[in-house]
Amino acid sequence: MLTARTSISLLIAAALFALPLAASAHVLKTSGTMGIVLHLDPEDEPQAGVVTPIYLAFKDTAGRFKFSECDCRMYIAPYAQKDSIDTSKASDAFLHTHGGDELNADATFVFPKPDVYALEVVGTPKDGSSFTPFTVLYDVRVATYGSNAISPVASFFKGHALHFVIFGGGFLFFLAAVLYDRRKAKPISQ
Amino acid sequence: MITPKRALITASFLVSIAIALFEHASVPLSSQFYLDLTQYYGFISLALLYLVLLPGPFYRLFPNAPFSIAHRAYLSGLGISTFYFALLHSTVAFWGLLEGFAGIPYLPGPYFWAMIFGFLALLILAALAGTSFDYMRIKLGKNWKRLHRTVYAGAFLVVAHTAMAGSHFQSLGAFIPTFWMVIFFALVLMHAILLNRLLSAKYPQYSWLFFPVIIALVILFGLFILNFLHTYAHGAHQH
Repeated sequence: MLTARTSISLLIAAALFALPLAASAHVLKTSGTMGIVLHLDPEDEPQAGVVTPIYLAFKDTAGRFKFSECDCRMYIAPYAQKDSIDTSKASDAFLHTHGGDELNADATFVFPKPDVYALEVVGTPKDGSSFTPFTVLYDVRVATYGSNAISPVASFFKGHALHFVIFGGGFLFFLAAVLYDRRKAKPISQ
Repeated sequence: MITPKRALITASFLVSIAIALFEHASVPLSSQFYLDLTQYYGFISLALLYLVLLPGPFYRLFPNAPFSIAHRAYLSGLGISTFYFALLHSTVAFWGLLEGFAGIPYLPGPYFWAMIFGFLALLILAALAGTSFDYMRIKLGKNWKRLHRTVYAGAFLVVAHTAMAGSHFQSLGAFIPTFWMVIFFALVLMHAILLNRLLSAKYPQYSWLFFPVIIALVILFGLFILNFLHTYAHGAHQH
């Protein structure tokens, strides 16, 4: 019979079931003193055949990392070749900073087809010593082909106009409701 | 006996297992498996939280709407399910995506704060789920209601956490964030109308516009904080 106690036991069992046995990260990867969080657009589910924006956020626990002082390179290869990536060549995806931000970088890349890819970020200090060199490897799944077409509606919605509509419209609605309350309340107060 | 509460809790359990099994079958790759699970459980928890928060203001504004009494039987089950999915979301994200405790020092600032907000919200949801039984309701008496009002603080933390760390919330103009913004803002406005009614009835000596202006300023301040946190987490590079 399904009692409250049984239900709760089932929930606890499910929570334990969800505890992954081995920690394998996608978002955060660490190397030496560096932690790097990867984000891919759209929604961490990149698509093949279209330009994929890639974002990296850096954290150096020693506090010495600066993007401008880093020879940072990004290599992308099919996951099967993850151990044989040639890190002496130029970047596959050119990393650049966000408007001078020393702890955030982005790049763009076109994944050729749906597949599992290895995305490796290698950083060495330009002066040879300002921070500890690092290498992190992410696995990235590209499940589908993307559509090149960006509809005009989508680009409109990407702007701020929509925010004004939502919040401005909301506040107008609030004012209308307040006025309505006031009209209703008047006969009582008189 | 199958009560609405037990039915909801059991359904949550079965859904969570079904999602995990489905994802495991379709995404054998471990990191993407954790990422997908984190997103699914997070979204379900957010949706359930909304369902918990909605009836209160909605039925006070529209007392004659359908299910105004019947919905009450489901609230505590919804609350427990919200916590359950939030716990799964946190567990999978923490151990699967963020390298567990070892990863904490390596988290870049915005992600660290997003995680702290999420953790605080989880604590609140845990306290609420843990006291959502009749026994605790009677034992806590007046304090039960006070405790359960912290759900609003929890909701604000959840919204901040989502705006900062949600994979789908990087660009706020897309459909999913727009949808959530609209429905959460509708909830805030319902509370604003009710609060204005309460305050203007209690303090009739003030101008009729006094409280609406104050409430609007408080809401704007909240939006400003959320926008600040979102920009802090994602940079001003995208819209």
